[in-house]
Amino acid sequence: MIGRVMDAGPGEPPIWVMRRRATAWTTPQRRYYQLVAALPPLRDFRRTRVLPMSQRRLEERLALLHPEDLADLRMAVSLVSWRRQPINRTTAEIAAMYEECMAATRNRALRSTVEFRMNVRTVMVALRLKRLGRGVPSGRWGVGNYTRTIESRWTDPEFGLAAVFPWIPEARVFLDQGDATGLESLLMGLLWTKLSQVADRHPFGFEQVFAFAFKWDILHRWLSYDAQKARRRFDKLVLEATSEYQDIFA
Amino acid sequence: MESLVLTTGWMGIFSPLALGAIGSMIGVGRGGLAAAGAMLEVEAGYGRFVGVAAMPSSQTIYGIVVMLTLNRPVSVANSPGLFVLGVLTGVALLISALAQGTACAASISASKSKAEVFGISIAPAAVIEGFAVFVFVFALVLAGSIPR
Repeated sequence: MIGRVMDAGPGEPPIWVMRRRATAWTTPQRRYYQLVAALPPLRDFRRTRVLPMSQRRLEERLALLHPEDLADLRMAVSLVSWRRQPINRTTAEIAAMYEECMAATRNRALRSTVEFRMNVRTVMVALRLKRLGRGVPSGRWGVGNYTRTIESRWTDPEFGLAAVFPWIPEARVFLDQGDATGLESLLMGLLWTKLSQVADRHPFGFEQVFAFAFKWDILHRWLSYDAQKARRRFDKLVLEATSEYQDIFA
Repeated sequence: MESLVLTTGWMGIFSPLALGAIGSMIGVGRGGLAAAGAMLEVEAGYGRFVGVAAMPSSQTIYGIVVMLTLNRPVSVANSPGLFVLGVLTGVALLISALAQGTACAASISASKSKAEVFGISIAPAAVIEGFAVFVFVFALVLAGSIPR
């Protein structure tokens, strides 16, 4: 269970906040005119059928980033990625990665995006624990600024966070219905919208590049669901076809 | 003290060209980078990207004309006027070239995947050019009132 890893001590701001304050005025705002122009447009993942760029091509493009930005992006991707997390990764390890990412990442929008994604994951953990009938979690179970609020408002269906996370009621409905695809679509849509807002505010900045990389990841994941579905259907059709052959030669 | 005042006069004369050229360099650089990136994504029509990328060059031409108009024997009487008119014109040309470079880069980025928006996407860059022309024209008008 993840504790409140962001707390440095009584009355003191977290360590990463103090580091951020020290570097806020010294972080360069790099512009990536060539890189952004070399990226294809990404339409809403729910209406896209083909991945507009291969992973190899994406890696080639991202190689144009400044080494510092590339390092920050790679660290953030390990937390924000929709690809399946390693099973043996513990909550404590994820919390440590989150803390390290927040301390090391120079770009404010990237930190905000990682924080947003991890808050969503924390709330989802709480919703799932509650649905399993568990009591108030203790120790290390989530990350971010809302773990204490969730613990203290455990009996509230929305943990007192309905104003901050208005999507919680909808997520609860999907959980109750066992609609994993609907829930995934909702959560991916939240991050997609957030990334679109970040990219629109910083044209040709690093923000536009990492927003593309994260959106590409969402799209890649979403299309893989369709591929799995298609494979199941294909297997079913093959089975039906071979069954007919068996009948013919019977 | 007099030499300092005369120095400001010379600064005013050369500022429109120097600052306008700096803006053009950065602006064309932005557009050029975007054009190079767009060329990686498209199979044809590279020429139009280069053409759009070159749009912020005009600020240097305006700067040359304003500099030649302001050019005159520098004296204590006309130095303040030359300084204010020249430097402000130069700053305006510099900023317009930077903004135009970004607008051109956005236009190139948008039109690479949607060729039909090419014409309308360069409209913002053309509007920015209009503001630079305002500065250019009225700098010429006011230059006539600075004593020779």
